[in-house]
Amino acid sequence: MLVLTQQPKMATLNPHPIRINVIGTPTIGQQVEVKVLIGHPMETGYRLGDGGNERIPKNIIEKVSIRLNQEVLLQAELGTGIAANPLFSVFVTVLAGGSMITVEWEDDRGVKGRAEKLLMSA
Amino acid sequence: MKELLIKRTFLKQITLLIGIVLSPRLMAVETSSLSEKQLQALNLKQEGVVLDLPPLADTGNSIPFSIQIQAPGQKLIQSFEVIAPENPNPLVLKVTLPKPQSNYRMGTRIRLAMSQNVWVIAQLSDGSKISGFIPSVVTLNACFDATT
Repeated sequence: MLVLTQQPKMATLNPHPIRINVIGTPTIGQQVEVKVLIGHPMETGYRLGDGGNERIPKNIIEKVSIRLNQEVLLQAELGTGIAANPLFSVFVTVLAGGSMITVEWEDDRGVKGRAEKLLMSA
Repeated sequence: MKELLIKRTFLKQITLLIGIVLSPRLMAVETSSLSEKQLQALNLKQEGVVLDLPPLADTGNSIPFSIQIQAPGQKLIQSFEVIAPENPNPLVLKVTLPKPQSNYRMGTRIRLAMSQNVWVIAQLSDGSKISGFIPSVVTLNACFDATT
């Protein structure tokens, strides 16, 4: 019989992966949609565990910021009303050459995440 | 008797004064914890806020929600709040724009505890507020407090 001694591993080793996707072709001067997906449970603290007695502790992202170079695209404080694995889509006017999209977040336990992606104009 | 009357009018005036001083502050701070009725009673201008939310959601766990705000005239948007009055924690999202803009567009996914109107209240550069709301029917709820 197989006994699992360790937690089964996720497809990615990083517990909080960040994906940044650009929808459409980035043409200079045009707007493109940038979708940011952050892997995070966003536990509300209102749910009970399998036994029905224990409360699952609250663990949510409190601050998110998305920047294009130095310009802030989104700076937000989140509550428990944001779904697990938060997704944000913002709209970016494409600059000539390459520009860096930076995503940073911090949750209520002080865990931080950061990711960058180069947005190249077509 | 006269003294008593003077005292009473003085007390009335003092409470009125305190009320006048405090009311704008209360209005400014407390929008995030207001109920649906109280939000409607604020009589905020319903213009310039375009929201998109599915009219029927099978589960409240994750509902796509998009916001498009256009500030009227020469005004600029400073910040805005997304409020779901029936959620245990009504303030869903608070976005601040470090550089105020005349229009702003974003999308996210939200949780809803039950069928309700989702409100967006935007703070403009001249101190006024604009708002918009959109109803959604949730057939299976999420984000409700199971611990109480």
